[in-house]
Amino acid sequence: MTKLGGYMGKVLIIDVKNRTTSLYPWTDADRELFLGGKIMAAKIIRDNVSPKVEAFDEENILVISTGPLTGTSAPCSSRFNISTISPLTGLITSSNCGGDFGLHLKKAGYDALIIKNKSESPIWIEINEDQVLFHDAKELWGKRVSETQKALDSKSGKLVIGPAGENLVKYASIFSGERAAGRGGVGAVMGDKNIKAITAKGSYKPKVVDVEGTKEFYKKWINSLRSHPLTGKQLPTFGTAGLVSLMQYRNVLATKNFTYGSYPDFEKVSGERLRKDFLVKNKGCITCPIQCGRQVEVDGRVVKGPELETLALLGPNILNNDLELILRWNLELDELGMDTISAGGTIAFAMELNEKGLWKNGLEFGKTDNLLAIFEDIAYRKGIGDELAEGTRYLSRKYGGVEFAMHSKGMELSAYEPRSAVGQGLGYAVSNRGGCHLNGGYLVLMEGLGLSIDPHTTKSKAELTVLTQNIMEAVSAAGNCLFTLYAMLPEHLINNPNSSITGLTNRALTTSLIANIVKFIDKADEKLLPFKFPLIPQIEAIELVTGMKMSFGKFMEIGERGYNLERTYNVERGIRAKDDSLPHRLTKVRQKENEPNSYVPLDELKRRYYEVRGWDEDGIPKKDKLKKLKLIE
Amino acid sequence: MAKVKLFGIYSLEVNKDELIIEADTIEAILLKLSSIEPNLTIKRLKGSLIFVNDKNISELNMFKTKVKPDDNISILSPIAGG
Repeated sequence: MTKLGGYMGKVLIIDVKNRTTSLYPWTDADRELFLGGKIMAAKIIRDNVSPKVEAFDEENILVISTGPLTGTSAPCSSRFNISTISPLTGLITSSNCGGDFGLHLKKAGYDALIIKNKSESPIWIEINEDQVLFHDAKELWGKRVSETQKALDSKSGKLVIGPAGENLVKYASIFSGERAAGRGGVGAVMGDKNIKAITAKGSYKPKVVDVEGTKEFYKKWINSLRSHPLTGKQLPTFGTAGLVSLMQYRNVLATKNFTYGSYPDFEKVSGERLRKDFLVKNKGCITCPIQCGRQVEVDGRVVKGPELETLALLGPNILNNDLELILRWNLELDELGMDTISAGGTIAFAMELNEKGLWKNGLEFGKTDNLLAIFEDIAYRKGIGDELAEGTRYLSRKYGGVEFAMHSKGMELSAYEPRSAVGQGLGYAVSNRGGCHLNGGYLVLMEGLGLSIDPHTTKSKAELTVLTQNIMEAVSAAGNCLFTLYAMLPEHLINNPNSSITGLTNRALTTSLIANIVKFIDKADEKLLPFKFPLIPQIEAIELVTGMKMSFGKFMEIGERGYNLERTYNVERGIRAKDDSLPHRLTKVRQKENEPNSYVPLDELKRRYYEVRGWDEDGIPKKDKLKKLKLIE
Repeated sequence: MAKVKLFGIYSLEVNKDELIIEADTIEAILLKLSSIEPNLTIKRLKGSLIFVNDKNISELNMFKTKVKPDDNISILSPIAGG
């Protein structure tokens, strides 16, 4: 139970082996410290899953959690999180999803679900407020994602896996509507527990403490999102796909397994082309004024269009310029239930292994006619698909090519080639869930995609990475979409990239002044930063919804706590500085022969990052840091 | 005659993604482009990311950058995030 608004006050444990349910003790003190979403999940996992437990052990748990804003009328608040031990990385993973399951979970009366143990046979679980039913899933097992969804109650929120999850593909996803909790193989853990689907419904509603205050505040917040050039114009018009062209010019468009940062045929797979030739309409998450999702037509069906990551990793990164094929593959991968980022990255690596004669597998850069069948082979683990289903790191250990295996901690890198955005390179390497652009801090946004700070300098990159990681951690835990943060970038800077003020800002961001401000925020007690910060509207929204006092300092400390909590658990699982790594190609080989700085100077960046984080030189959080964050007594 | 390519919102607004323009500096190209496509005001165009043969004009001579007849000029509307 809870005295706070926004929360339902109950966390449900479902033991699928014994077919029992119970409530997990989660108090308002926990909510104040861990907020919700991925941070709450990390705390539950650390407290309940021994670091010796592997992804497919019975003792692994799946934590499906919402934030205090999920299911309220806050803009972009249809977000929930799934965390578990990842079969891809062997570490804690978190995967965020914009589907409507989180909202329905709250309607059923719960802030989170903890799924324990393994069912002996395939089941699906129906949650209807206090009633939890375990159904035989014999009829559903083997079905694709949309077929499974259609077979379930249309009024419930649904979490579903496809054949990839059933067959334990290491990067299988979980779907809610058309949206995926895509990364880290959460779908394989659900499949390993023999759960095909979970539905939730009910008639509860999260209580909002200051109803009038939120109405007024949301109005302003929505207006600011609608009037901002990125969230009001760029993203609704082109979706994330609109980035392809700029990435080309900034040399961050992963091409031929990250051999290059640009692709001569980029216009054939760009967001402009997607809009012109294939867009049917926009479609976004519930309560979202941005509506970045694309709807396109494939074989007569109107379906979800590809995100930027899918376009790049199944386009330039495998030297494919056929956009229509990418749309079809995107649909197929969704239907099979697997992550398009890891699938694309693994295929590119296998192509390069083949090209170099290390693994004769029939996959070739630019050869596309066999890929649709290969995706199915991955999902059903047939032929070479059985090995591709294990991911890039597995293939590099078996066949070689470690120096061009594009993963970090076992997770395939997303679509940004970091040798022209070295802060993003640092982020990939230190990210708790592995090679993820978002968990890495998404510094490429400042290094060319929104602002234009020097993409090659190491100055302030560690500090800015810590800052953005902490902000994103807290926004995510609140149940809000990270895209709202684009509106943080002042409009003048976006609309006037060539102005002297923008130039000055870009230069200032890499000075020691900014580095010192960030360090101060990181080191200061939350009480020293008692104010609200208008550029992060979530701070005010959380206070209005929950009634808990929220300040910039407290919000930042929650984000920092979350980041350190996942790190500490990963350290307990054996992670050290050596694991915060990138392949040789990115750290030692210049992207452009005539540009001496066009590589990621990772060792230097990491040293600084650990120092700013308050970790020792082996990447272990120091005791005083953990004490400050109330993670140890 | 330089080839001028438009990306993002610009290409959508003027419903074309490529024009051929004769001029010898970026400034002159923007002026001509603006007169051909009045929606693309000089103020907006100067607030764009502009590349000459893949090189940002901020690394060259900004709007005074010289343009040769076979240069490719790319003009991108403000953009970010994914």
